[in-house]
Amino acid sequence: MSMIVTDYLDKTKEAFPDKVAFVDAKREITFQGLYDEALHVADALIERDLFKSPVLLFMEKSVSLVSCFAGTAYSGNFYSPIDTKMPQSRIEKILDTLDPAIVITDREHEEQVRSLIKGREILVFEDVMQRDYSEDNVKRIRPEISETDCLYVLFTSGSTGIPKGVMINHRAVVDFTDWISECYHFDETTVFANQAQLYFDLSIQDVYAPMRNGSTTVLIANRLYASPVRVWNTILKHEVNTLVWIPSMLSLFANLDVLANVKKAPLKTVLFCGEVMPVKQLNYWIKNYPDAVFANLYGPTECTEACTYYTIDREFNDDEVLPIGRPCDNTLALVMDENGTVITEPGKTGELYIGGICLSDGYYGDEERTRESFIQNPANKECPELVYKTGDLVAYNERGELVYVCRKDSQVKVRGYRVELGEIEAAASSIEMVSYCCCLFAPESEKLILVYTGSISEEEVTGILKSKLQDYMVPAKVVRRDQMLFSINGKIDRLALSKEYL
Amino acid sequence: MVSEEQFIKDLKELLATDEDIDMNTDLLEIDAWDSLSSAAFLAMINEKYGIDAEPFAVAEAIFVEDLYRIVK
Repeated sequence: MSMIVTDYLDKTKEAFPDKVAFVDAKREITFQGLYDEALHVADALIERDLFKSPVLLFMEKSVSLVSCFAGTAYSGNFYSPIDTKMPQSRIEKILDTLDPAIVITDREHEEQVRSLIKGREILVFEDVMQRDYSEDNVKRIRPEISETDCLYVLFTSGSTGIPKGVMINHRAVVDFTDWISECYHFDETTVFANQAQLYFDLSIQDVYAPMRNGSTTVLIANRLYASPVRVWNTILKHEVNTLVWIPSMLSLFANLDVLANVKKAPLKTVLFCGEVMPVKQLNYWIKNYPDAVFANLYGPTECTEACTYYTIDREFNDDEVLPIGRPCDNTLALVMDENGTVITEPGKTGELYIGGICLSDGYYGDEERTRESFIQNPANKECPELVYKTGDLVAYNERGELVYVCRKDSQVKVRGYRVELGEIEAAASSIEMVSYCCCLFAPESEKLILVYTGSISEEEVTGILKSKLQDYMVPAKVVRRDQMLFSINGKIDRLALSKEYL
Repeated sequence: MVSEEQFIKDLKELLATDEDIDMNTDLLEIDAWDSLSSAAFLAMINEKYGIDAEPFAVAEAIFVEDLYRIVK
């Protein structure tokens, strides 16, 4: 029988039944407790004859939401968690695309869901927990679930304004969880402090590594990150030793000089993924935790989470760019030029194509966009083999490591010169008093605009950039803002900044 | 020295909010105070009051009063 994510929990609840699996601000749950709650959810779905059907989860990040993930998986259905604070218009677009067979929410959001979502059955988590459940139902259905069945659909923004539902199957999540657990030695002593929302792919190991390894994940409400010291107190309280965070959040702790002013946490592993990690802020973390393992993970949602990785093994200057390293196990990473020729030599830039077990099955209900993005491997004419066009430009360095250059649409031409916006951002972010920055390009006027936050004047930033960059790369306009704009996933919101400045 | 009233007015302007805020308000109860507000606050007090504060003082602030103490 093939391996699905709930097989992890079946084993772990036997090995560590009373060990705490997940903690949130309101409660904690053991592996046995998680199993029981998951089976309540699973049985409620099986009882309704739902199988291989989409289940919309409308709840805040919580232990209960994790129980719904596992329960939906046990039932042979697939889940799609959405942000409870999402605008109604976006929720409607997601409902149109997903057409969920059922919605699960909790008492806190029941009224909101009933007013937002009409004409669909709504289950309330607390009511489901009051019912009896049949373990036999779940065991009966297990052989019918395959590792290639969809586990979840995560919605990401689409360029047309219609969210794309990225489908990920059990096998991809199992493969990723196995890889990251082995590579970074996660076991029952590992304690994660979760930062990412659970509708964001960066949370995958926070959810599934405990089920595999008996680890514990502390689910920290995203609201708390407005108070970094309170986040740190939570980390200390639960003796967290592992972080897998977005670079912007690690940067926040560095910019506010938190680590030098608080008690040391037993941190052993700090991984980051989702955007470019500025080296200046990384060096701050390394200085404060010199014995911890730091690693740069790279991967689009379409490749589960990370598909390449680089464990920091040498020193970097503040204005250098970290490699994204090499492919994770069972992953193919191809760099191709505009003519479809595979690049293997250092220094040449090409688009990154990803293949392997990590690959999404495509966009839910959108064959056309799936066909555009998931194509036959141009380097393999003999056998069917799909690869994902990431839209990211990369190059090999002299050590044979992949280095992220920029988004394909971030490579621009200024006065005939090819300019990579990421290079300008790396130079700007290395300036000591700059906390966040983003470089934009106005195609009609061919002007570069740097937007930044920090306690340094626009004139000073321009002056420093002139000393670091070639003249055609120095932004024509440098704008200081009080606050950087970030997307719901915590990444710098380039689109919103473009609307404001271009 | 900036008065409490002026400080709260400036803070509300920075956060672009009409929420009820006083010295005893927990920062987490202010919807508009998010993870990016600390950096914006540091820039604001530098610009308006000429104060170059230690970033950590903002990171450890719990109540509005803690922020006010930085500029007092």
